[in-house]
Amino acid sequence: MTRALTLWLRLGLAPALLLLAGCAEPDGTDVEPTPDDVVTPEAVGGDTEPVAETAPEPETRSAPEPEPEPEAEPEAEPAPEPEPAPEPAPEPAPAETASAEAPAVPADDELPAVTFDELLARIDASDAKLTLVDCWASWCEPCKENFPHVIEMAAAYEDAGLHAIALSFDAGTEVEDIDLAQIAEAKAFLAGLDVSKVENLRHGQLLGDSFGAFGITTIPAVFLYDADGKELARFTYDDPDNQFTYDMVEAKVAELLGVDPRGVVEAETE
Amino acid sequence: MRTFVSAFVALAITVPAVAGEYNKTVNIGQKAPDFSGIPATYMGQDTSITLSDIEEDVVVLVFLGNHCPYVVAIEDHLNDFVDNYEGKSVKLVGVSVNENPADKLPQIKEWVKTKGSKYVYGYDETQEIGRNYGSTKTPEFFVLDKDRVIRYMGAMYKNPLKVEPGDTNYVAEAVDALLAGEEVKIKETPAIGCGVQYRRK
Repeated sequence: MTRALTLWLRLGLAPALLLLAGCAEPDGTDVEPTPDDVVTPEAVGGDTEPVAETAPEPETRSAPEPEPEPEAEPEAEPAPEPEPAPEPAPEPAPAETASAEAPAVPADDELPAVTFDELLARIDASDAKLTLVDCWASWCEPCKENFPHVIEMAAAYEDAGLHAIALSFDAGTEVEDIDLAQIAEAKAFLAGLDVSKVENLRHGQLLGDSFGAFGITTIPAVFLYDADGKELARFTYDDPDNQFTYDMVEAKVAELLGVDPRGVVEAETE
Repeated sequence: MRTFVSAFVALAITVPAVAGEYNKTVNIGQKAPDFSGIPATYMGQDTSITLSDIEEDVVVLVFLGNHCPYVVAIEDHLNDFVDNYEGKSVKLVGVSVNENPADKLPQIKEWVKTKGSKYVYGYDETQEIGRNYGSTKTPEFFVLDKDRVIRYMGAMYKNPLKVEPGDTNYVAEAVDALLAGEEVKIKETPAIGCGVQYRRK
Protein backbone atom coordinates (compact mmCIF):
# COMPACT_ATOMS: atom_id res chain seq x y z
CA MET A 1 0.00 0.00 0.00
CA THR A 2 2.68 2.41 1.00
CA ARG A 3 4.67 1.33 -1.92
CA ALA A 4 1.78 1.72 -4.29
CA LEU A 5 1.14 5.22 -3.12
CA THR A 6 4.75 6.17 -3.22
CA LEU A 7 4.97 4.84 -6.71
CA TRP A 8 1.89 6.77 -7.64
CA LEU A 9 3.41 9.88 -6.17
CA ARG A 10 6.57 9.35 -8.06
CA LEU A 11 4.83 8.64 -11.32
CA GLY A 12 2.72 11.70 -10.82
CA LEU A 13 5.78 13.76 -10.18
CA ALA A 14 7.80 12.36 -13.02
CA PRO A 15 6.33 14.48 -15.78
CA ALA A 16 6.64 17.58 -13.68
CA LEU A 17 10.22 16.80 -12.90
CA LEU A 18 10.98 16.03 -16.48
CA LEU A 19 9.49 19.33 -17.44
CA LEU A 20 11.58 21.11 -14.90
CA ALA A 21 14.65 19.22 -15.88
CA GLY A 22 13.86 20.02 -19.45
CA CYS A 23 13.82 23.73 -18.77
CA ALA A 24 16.96 23.49 -16.79
CA GLU A 25 19.10 21.44 -19.05
CA PRO A 26 17.87 20.57 -22.49
CA ASP A 27 20.41 17.81 -22.68
CA GLY A 28 20.00 16.86 -19.07
CA THR A 29 20.15 13.14 -19.30
CA ASP A 30 21.78 12.35 -16.03
CA VAL A 31 18.75 12.20 -13.86
CA GLU A 32 19.98 11.54 -10.37
CA PRO A 33 18.94 8.35 -8.75
CA THR A 34 16.24 8.92 -6.22
CA PRO A 35 17.36 8.62 -2.64
CA ASP A 36 15.26 5.48 -2.47
CA ASP A 37 17.31 3.74 -5.07
CA VAL A 38 20.47 4.62 -3.31
CA VAL A 39 19.31 3.49 0.06
CA THR A 40 17.67 0.17 -0.63
CA PRO A 41 20.68 -2.13 -0.80
CA GLU A 42 21.03 -1.77 2.93
CA ALA A 43 17.38 -2.19 3.66
CA VAL A 44 17.40 -5.79 4.64
CA GLY A 45 14.66 -6.03 7.14
CA GLY A 46 12.50 -3.20 6.01
CA ASP A 47 13.65 0.09 7.28
CA THR A 48 17.25 0.81 7.82
CA GLU A 49 17.13 4.39 8.77
CA PRO A 50 20.04 5.41 10.82
CA VAL A 51 19.10 5.18 14.45
CA ALA A 52 20.03 8.72 15.03
CA GLU A 53 16.72 9.80 13.59
CA THR A 54 14.63 8.56 16.44
CA ALA A 55 17.10 7.75 19.12
CA PRO A 56 17.38 10.57 21.57
CA GLU A 57 20.99 9.72 21.94
CA PRO A 58 23.34 12.66 22.28
CA GLU A 59 23.34 13.65 25.91
CA THR A 60 23.88 10.34 27.60
CA ARG A 61 25.86 8.85 24.77
CA SER A 62 28.85 10.78 25.98
CA ALA A 63 28.98 8.54 29.00
CA PRO A 64 32.53 8.10 30.14
CA GLU A 65 34.21 4.95 28.99
CA PRO A 66 32.54 2.31 31.05
CA GLU A 67 34.58 1.19 33.96
CA PRO A 68 36.56 -1.83 32.92
CA GLU A 69 35.04 -3.84 35.71
CA PRO A 70 31.58 -4.76 34.36
CA GLU A 71 33.09 -6.31 31.25
CA ALA A 72 29.92 -8.32 30.89
CA GLU A 73 32.02 -11.27 29.96
CA PRO A 74 30.77 -14.78 30.25
CA GLU A 75 31.31 -14.54 33.95
CA ALA A 76 31.06 -18.25 34.31
CA GLU A 77 27.40 -18.47 33.49
CA PRO A 78 26.21 -21.45 35.44
CA ALA A 79 25.09 -22.78 32.12
CA PRO A 80 22.29 -25.26 31.72
CA GLU A 81 21.42 -25.78 35.27
CA PRO A 82 19.41 -28.88 35.74
CA GLU A 83 17.39 -27.58 38.64
CA PRO A 84 14.43 -25.57 37.55
CA ALA A 85 15.30 -21.94 38.00
CA PRO A 86 16.11 -21.54 41.63
CA GLU A 87 14.27 -18.26 41.88
CA PRO A 88 16.53 -16.07 43.93
CA ALA A 89 14.80 -13.98 46.48
CA PRO A 90 13.27 -11.11 44.55
CA GLU A 91 16.18 -8.79 44.14
CA PRO A 92 15.69 -5.34 45.54
CA ALA A 93 14.00 -3.99 42.44
CA PRO A 94 16.86 -2.63 40.35
CA ALA A 95 15.56 0.84 40.66
CA GLU A 96 16.53 3.74 38.51
CA THR A 97 20.00 3.74 39.99
CA ALA A 98 21.59 3.48 36.60
CA SER A 99 24.12 6.04 37.60
CA ALA A 100 27.60 5.92 36.17
CA GLU A 101 29.08 4.71 39.43
CA ALA A 102 27.23 1.84 40.95
CA PRO A 103 26.42 -1.16 38.83
CA ALA A 104 22.72 -0.93 38.12
CA VAL A 105 21.98 -4.36 39.48
CA PRO A 106 23.27 -6.84 41.98
CA ALA A 107 26.25 -8.67 40.56
CA ASP A 108 24.59 -12.02 40.93
CA ASP A 109 21.52 -11.12 38.91
CA GLU A 110 21.49 -13.31 35.83
CA LEU A 111 19.37 -10.76 34.03
CA PRO A 112 21.01 -7.40 34.71
CA ALA A 113 19.20 -4.26 33.66
CA VAL A 114 20.83 -1.79 31.28
CA THR A 115 19.63 1.35 29.61
CA PHE A 116 20.03 1.78 25.87
CA ASP A 117 23.08 3.96 26.39
CA GLU A 118 24.63 1.51 28.79
CA LEU A 119 24.06 -1.23 26.26
CA LEU A 120 25.88 0.68 23.54
CA ALA A 121 28.70 1.50 25.93
CA ARG A 122 29.04 -2.19 26.75
CA ILE A 123 29.19 -3.07 23.08
CA ASP A 124 31.75 -0.36 22.51
CA ALA A 125 33.82 -1.67 25.39
CA SER A 126 33.72 -5.29 24.28
CA ASP A 127 36.06 -6.46 21.57
CA ALA A 128 33.53 -8.44 19.56
CA LYS A 129 33.77 -7.73 15.86
CA LEU A 130 30.01 -7.84 15.51
CA THR A 131 27.34 -7.75 18.17
CA LEU A 132 23.82 -8.99 17.65
CA VAL A 133 21.16 -7.64 20.00
CA ASP A 134 17.91 -9.54 20.04
CA CYS A 135 15.09 -7.67 21.75
CA TRP A 136 12.60 -10.10 23.24
CA ALA A 137 10.22 -10.49 26.16
CA SER A 138 8.42 -13.23 28.01
CA TRP A 139 5.14 -11.75 26.78
CA CYS A 140 6.24 -11.76 23.14
CA GLU A 141 5.32 -15.05 21.48
CA PRO A 142 7.23 -14.62 18.22
CA CYS A 143 10.26 -13.59 20.25
CA LYS A 144 10.19 -16.77 22.27
CA GLU A 145 9.60 -18.88 19.20
CA ASN A 146 12.68 -17.42 17.58
CA PHE A 147 14.92 -17.37 20.62
CA PRO A 148 16.56 -20.69 19.65
CA HIS A 149 17.72 -19.06 16.43
CA VAL A 150 19.66 -16.50 18.42
CA ILE A 151 21.35 -19.29 20.34
CA GLU A 152 22.13 -21.11 17.10
CA MET A 153 23.68 -18.03 15.55
CA ALA A 154 25.63 -17.21 18.69
CA ALA A 155 27.21 -20.65 18.66
CA ALA A 156 27.77 -20.92 14.92
CA TYR A 157 29.41 -17.53 14.41
CA GLU A 158 31.24 -17.14 17.69
CA ASP A 159 34.56 -18.10 16.11
CA ALA A 160 34.00 -15.55 13.36
CA GLY A 161 33.61 -12.76 15.89
CA LEU A 162 29.93 -12.64 16.71
CA HIS A 163 28.72 -11.81 20.18
CA ALA A 164 25.01 -12.21 20.88
CA ILE A 165 23.04 -10.29 23.46
CA ALA A 166 19.47 -11.17 24.28
CA LEU A 167 17.88 -8.05 25.71
CA SER A 168 14.72 -8.82 27.61
CA PHE A 169 12.04 -6.15 27.40
CA ASP A 170 10.38 -7.55 30.46
CA ALA A 171 9.12 -5.18 33.10
CA GLY A 172 11.13 -2.07 32.96
CA THR A 173 11.30 -0.02 36.07
CA GLU A 174 7.80 1.38 35.84
CA VAL A 175 5.49 -1.18 37.28
CA GLU A 176 6.45 -2.31 40.71
CA ASP A 177 3.62 -4.72 41.08
CA ILE A 178 4.15 -6.60 37.85
CA ASP A 179 7.88 -6.15 37.65
CA LEU A 180 9.01 -9.23 39.46
CA ALA A 181 6.41 -11.50 37.96
CA GLN A 182 7.46 -10.61 34.43
CA ILE A 183 11.12 -10.84 35.23
CA ALA A 184 10.61 -14.19 36.92
CA GLU A 185 8.82 -15.40 33.82
CA ALA A 186 11.67 -14.26 31.63
CA LYS A 187 14.16 -16.04 33.84
CA ALA A 188 12.08 -19.18 33.86
CA PHE A 189 11.99 -19.12 30.07
CA LEU A 190 15.76 -18.72 29.87
CA ALA A 191 16.27 -21.48 32.41
CA GLY A 192 14.66 -23.89 29.97
CA LEU A 193 17.28 -23.22 27.32
CA ASP A 194 21.03 -23.50 27.03
CA VAL A 195 21.83 -19.83 26.90
CA SER A 196 25.50 -20.17 27.71
CA LYS A 197 26.52 -18.62 24.38
CA VAL A 198 24.28 -15.61 24.80
CA GLU A 199 24.69 -12.65 27.08
CA ASN A 200 21.39 -12.09 28.81
CA LEU A 201 20.40 -8.57 29.80
CA ARG A 202 17.19 -6.78 30.58
CA HIS A 203 16.14 -3.29 29.57
CA GLY A 204 16.27 -0.92 32.49
CA GLN A 205 14.02 1.88 31.31
CA LEU A 206 10.36 2.53 30.84
CA LEU A 207 9.17 0.33 28.02
CA GLY A 208 8.21 3.31 25.91
CA ASP A 209 11.64 4.82 26.44
CA SER A 210 13.34 1.64 25.32
CA PHE A 211 11.20 1.46 22.20
CA GLY A 212 11.97 5.11 21.56
CA ALA A 213 15.70 4.70 22.12
CA PHE A 214 15.90 1.88 19.61
CA GLY A 215 13.48 3.66 17.28
CA ILE A 216 11.10 0.74 17.07
CA THR A 217 7.46 0.27 17.95
CA THR A 218 7.39 -3.38 18.80
CA ILE A 219 9.40 -6.55 19.24
CA PRO A 220 10.90 -8.85 18.17
CA ALA A 221 13.64 -6.69 16.75
CA VAL A 222 17.27 -7.46 16.04
CA PHE A 223 20.15 -5.02 15.75
CA LEU A 224 23.68 -5.56 14.52
CA TYR A 225 26.44 -3.33 15.83
CA ASP A 226 30.08 -3.04 14.88
CA ALA A 227 32.88 -3.07 17.43
CA ASP A 228 32.32 0.61 18.21
CA GLY A 229 28.64 0.21 18.89
CA LYS A 230 27.64 1.68 15.56
CA GLU A 231 24.44 0.20 14.18
CA LEU A 232 25.00 -1.66 10.92
CA ALA A 233 21.60 -3.22 10.38
CA ARG A 234 18.21 -3.54 11.96
CA PHE A 235 15.41 -6.01 11.57
CA THR A 236 11.95 -5.11 12.82
CA TYR A 237 8.27 -6.02 12.86
CA ASP A 238 7.25 -2.43 12.28
CA ASP A 239 5.91 -2.91 8.78
CA PRO A 240 3.27 -5.62 8.44
CA ASP A 241 4.32 -6.21 4.85
CA ASN A 242 7.98 -6.39 5.62
CA GLN A 243 8.55 -8.26 8.84
CA PHE A 244 11.91 -9.91 9.15
CA THR A 245 12.75 -13.53 9.69
CA TYR A 246 15.79 -14.81 11.49
CA ASP A 247 17.28 -16.39 8.39
CA MET A 248 17.52 -12.84 7.04
CA VAL A 249 19.45 -11.95 10.15
CA GLU A 250 21.80 -14.86 9.67
CA ALA A 251 22.50 -13.88 6.07
CA LYS A 252 23.41 -10.38 7.19
CA VAL A 253 25.53 -11.62 10.08
CA ALA A 254 27.54 -13.81 7.72
CA GLU A 255 27.90 -10.99 5.26
CA LEU A 256 29.10 -8.53 7.87
CA LEU A 257 31.52 -11.05 9.32
CA GLY A 258 32.80 -11.84 5.87
CA VAL A 259 32.12 -15.56 6.13
CA ASP A 260 29.93 -17.95 4.22
CA PRO A 261 26.46 -18.36 5.67
CA ARG A 262 26.40 -21.52 7.74
CA GLY A 263 22.71 -22.04 7.39
CA VAL A 264 21.94 -22.63 11.04
CA VAL A 265 18.64 -20.78 10.87
CA GLU A 266 16.14 -22.54 8.72
CA ALA A 267 14.48 -20.31 6.19
CA GLU A 268 10.85 -19.80 7.04
CA THR A 269 8.52 -21.40 4.62
CA GLU A 270 4.93 -20.47 4.53
CA MET B 1 19.84 25.64 -12.14
CA ARG B 2 20.75 22.01 -12.13
CA THR B 3 21.37 22.06 -8.41
CA PHE B 4 18.02 23.64 -7.94
CA VAL B 5 16.39 20.82 -9.80
CA SER B 6 18.23 18.14 -7.84
CA ALA B 7 17.30 19.80 -4.62
CA PHE B 8 13.71 19.78 -5.70
CA VAL B 9 13.86 16.12 -6.62
CA ALA B 10 15.32 15.22 -3.26
CA LEU B 11 12.72 17.25 -1.46
CA ALA B 12 9.83 15.82 -3.41
CA ILE B 13 10.89 12.27 -2.81
CA THR B 14 11.63 12.55 0.87
CA VAL B 15 8.22 13.95 1.72
CA PRO B 16 6.55 11.01 3.42
CA ALA B 17 3.82 9.81 1.15
CA VAL B 18 1.53 8.10 3.60
CA ALA B 19 3.20 6.61 6.62
CA GLY B 20 2.62 8.14 10.00
CA GLU B 21 5.34 8.85 12.47
CA TYR B 22 4.99 5.47 14.10
CA ASN B 23 2.88 3.70 11.52
CA LYS B 24 4.42 2.48 8.29
CA THR B 25 1.14 2.06 6.45
CA VAL B 26 -1.43 4.74 7.18
CA ASN B 27 -1.41 8.32 8.26
CA ILE B 28 -3.59 10.83 10.02
CA GLY B 29 -6.06 12.50 7.69
CA GLN B 30 -6.23 9.48 5.46
CA LYS B 31 -9.44 7.67 4.64
CA ALA B 32 -9.72 4.67 6.93
CA PRO B 33 -9.21 1.35 5.16
CA ASP B 34 -12.53 -0.42 4.72
CA PHE B 35 -13.39 -3.71 6.35
CA SER B 36 -16.41 -5.92 6.27
CA GLY B 37 -17.83 -9.22 7.38
CA ILE B 38 -15.37 -9.84 10.19
CA PRO B 39 -16.86 -12.56 12.42
CA ALA B 40 -17.38 -11.20 15.89
CA THR B 41 -19.11 -11.52 19.20
CA TYR B 42 -21.10 -8.92 21.08
CA MET B 43 -22.77 -9.44 24.42
CA GLY B 44 -22.91 -13.19 23.93
CA GLN B 45 -24.27 -13.00 20.39
CA ASP B 46 -22.53 -13.93 17.16
CA THR B 47 -22.30 -11.00 14.83
CA SER B 48 -19.97 -9.48 12.29
CA ILE B 49 -18.23 -6.18 11.83
CA THR B 50 -18.59 -4.04 8.73
CA LEU B 51 -17.32 -0.49 8.75
CA SER B 52 -20.01 0.84 6.43
CA ASP B 53 -22.73 -0.57 8.70
CA ILE B 54 -21.61 1.44 11.68
CA GLU B 55 -23.92 4.38 12.20
CA GLU B 56 -22.17 6.17 15.01
CA ASP B 57 -20.31 9.39 14.28
CA VAL B 58 -17.05 8.24 15.77
CA VAL B 59 -15.49 4.81 15.48
CA VAL B 60 -12.75 3.63 17.80
CA LEU B 61 -11.01 0.60 16.38
CA VAL B 62 -8.67 -1.23 18.70
CA PHE B 63 -6.43 -4.15 17.82
CA LEU B 64 -6.34 -6.69 20.61
CA GLY B 65 -4.86 -10.07 21.42
CA ASN B 66 -5.77 -11.58 24.72
CA HIS B 67 -2.54 -13.48 25.27
CA CYS B 68 -0.83 -10.13 25.71
CA PRO B 69 -0.47 -8.64 29.20
CA TYR B 70 -0.81 -5.16 27.75
CA VAL B 71 -4.18 -6.13 26.32
CA VAL B 72 -5.26 -7.71 29.58
CA ALA B 73 -4.30 -4.49 31.32
CA ILE B 74 -6.39 -2.33 29.01
CA GLU B 75 -9.56 -4.42 29.28
CA ASP B 76 -11.10 -2.57 32.20
CA HIS B 77 -10.37 0.71 30.53
CA LEU B 78 -12.21 -0.43 27.43
CA ASN B 79 -15.32 -1.19 29.44
CA ASP B 80 -14.98 2.13 31.23
CA PHE B 81 -14.70 3.79 27.87
CA VAL B 82 -17.97 2.26 26.70
CA ASP B 83 -19.66 3.35 29.93
CA ASN B 84 -18.32 6.88 29.64
CA TYR B 85 -19.67 7.31 26.13
CA GLU B 86 -23.03 5.74 26.74
CA GLY B 87 -25.63 7.74 24.84
CA LYS B 88 -23.01 9.40 22.68
CA SER B 89 -22.47 8.59 19.05
CA VAL B 90 -19.34 6.53 19.54
CA LYS B 91 -18.68 2.90 18.67
CA LEU B 92 -15.84 0.85 20.09
CA VAL B 93 -14.75 -2.07 17.94
CA GLY B 94 -12.15 -4.60 19.00
CA VAL B 95 -10.46 -6.93 16.58
CA SER B 96 -7.72 -9.53 16.68
CA VAL B 97 -5.62 -10.75 13.78
CA ASN B 98 -3.21 -12.88 15.80
CA GLU B 99 -2.61 -16.52 15.06
CA ASN B 100 -1.95 -17.28 18.68
CA PRO B 101 -4.65 -19.79 19.67
CA ALA B 102 -5.51 -17.65 22.68
CA ASP B 103 -6.41 -14.79 20.36
CA LYS B 104 -8.89 -16.54 18.07
CA LEU B 105 -12.66 -16.31 18.05
CA PRO B 106 -13.61 -19.24 20.30
CA GLN B 107 -11.24 -17.93 22.97
CA ILE B 108 -12.41 -14.39 22.36
CA LYS B 109 -15.95 -15.52 23.12
CA GLU B 110 -14.82 -17.06 26.37
CA TRP B 111 -12.84 -13.97 27.23
CA VAL B 112 -15.71 -11.63 26.52
CA LYS B 113 -17.97 -13.71 28.73
CA THR B 114 -15.51 -13.78 31.60
CA LYS B 115 -14.66 -10.13 31.37
CA GLY B 116 -18.15 -8.88 30.67
CA SER B 117 -16.79 -6.95 27.71
CA LYS B 118 -19.16 -4.29 26.48
CA TYR B 119 -17.86 -3.83 22.96
CA VAL B 120 -18.02 -5.85 19.78
CA TYR B 121 -14.95 -8.01 19.36
CA GLY B 122 -14.01 -9.74 16.10
CA TYR B 123 -11.37 -11.99 14.69
CA ASP B 124 -9.97 -11.49 11.20
CA GLU B 125 -8.43 -14.73 10.09
CA THR B 126 -7.10 -13.11 6.91
CA GLN B 127 -5.17 -10.51 8.93
CA GLU B 128 -6.11 -8.02 6.23
CA ILE B 129 -7.57 -5.43 8.56
CA GLY B 130 -4.36 -5.38 10.57
CA ARG B 131 -2.22 -5.21 7.50
CA ASN B 132 -4.31 -2.42 5.99
CA TYR B 133 -4.10 -0.35 9.16
CA GLY B 134 -0.43 -1.13 9.66
CA SER B 135 -1.16 -2.40 13.15
CA THR B 136 1.96 -3.97 14.58
CA LYS B 137 1.12 -4.35 18.24
CA THR B 138 -1.70 -4.83 20.68
CA PRO B 139 -3.39 -2.83 22.00
CA GLU B 140 -3.29 -0.22 19.26
CA PHE B 141 -6.07 2.29 18.66
CA PHE B 142 -7.44 4.12 15.62
CA VAL B 143 -10.07 6.83 15.94
CA LEU B 144 -12.16 7.53 12.84
CA ASP B 145 -14.40 10.52 12.33
CA LYS B 146 -17.83 10.71 10.73
CA ASP B 147 -16.34 10.61 7.24
CA ARG B 148 -14.23 7.64 8.34
CA VAL B 149 -11.03 9.56 8.13
CA ILE B 150 -8.29 8.53 10.57
CA ARG B 151 -7.97 11.29 13.17
CA TYR B 152 -5.94 9.57 15.87
CA MET B 153 -3.78 6.49 16.14
CA GLY B 154 -1.65 4.98 18.84
CA ALA B 155 -2.06 4.27 22.52
CA MET B 156 -4.93 4.89 24.92
CA TYR B 157 -2.57 5.53 27.82
CA LYS B 158 1.15 6.08 27.76
CA ASN B 159 1.72 3.09 29.99
CA PRO B 160 -1.09 0.56 29.70
CA LEU B 161 0.28 -1.48 32.58
CA LYS B 162 0.03 1.31 35.07
CA VAL B 163 -2.60 3.91 34.52
CA GLU B 164 -2.52 6.70 37.08
CA PRO B 165 -5.59 8.80 37.80
CA GLY B 166 -4.22 11.90 36.11
CA ASP B 167 -2.95 10.16 32.97
CA THR B 168 -4.16 11.39 29.62
CA ASN B 169 -6.54 9.11 27.81
CA TYR B 170 -5.47 9.97 24.27
CA VAL B 171 -8.33 8.06 22.71
CA ALA B 172 -10.94 9.83 24.82
CA GLU B 173 -9.39 13.19 24.04
CA ALA B 174 -9.55 12.48 20.34
CA VAL B 175 -13.13 11.27 20.58
CA ASP B 176 -14.17 14.30 22.63
CA ALA B 177 -12.63 16.63 20.09
CA LEU B 178 -14.41 14.95 17.21
CA LEU B 179 -17.74 14.95 19.02
CA ALA B 180 -17.28 18.66 19.66
CA GLY B 181 -16.39 19.27 16.03
CA GLU B 182 -12.89 20.29 16.97
CA GLU B 183 -9.52 19.28 15.70
CA VAL B 184 -7.79 16.47 17.52
CA LYS B 185 -4.76 17.89 19.26
CA ILE B 186 -2.55 14.86 19.82
CA LYS B 187 -2.94 12.90 16.63
CA GLU B 188 -0.45 10.10 17.00
CA THR B 189 1.36 8.38 19.84
CA PRO B 190 3.48 5.25 19.90
CA ALA B 191 1.35 2.35 21.05
CA ILE B 192 3.04 -0.02 23.43
CA GLY B 193 2.30 -3.69 23.44
CA CYS B 194 2.87 -7.13 22.03
CA GLY B 195 4.02 -7.49 18.46
CA VAL B 196 1.57 -8.72 15.86
CA GLN B 197 3.04 -11.38 13.64
CA TYR B 198 1.85 -11.42 10.06
CA ARG B 199 2.02 -14.38 7.76
CA ARG B 200 4.50 -13.83 5.01
CA LYS B 201 2.98 -13.28 1.61
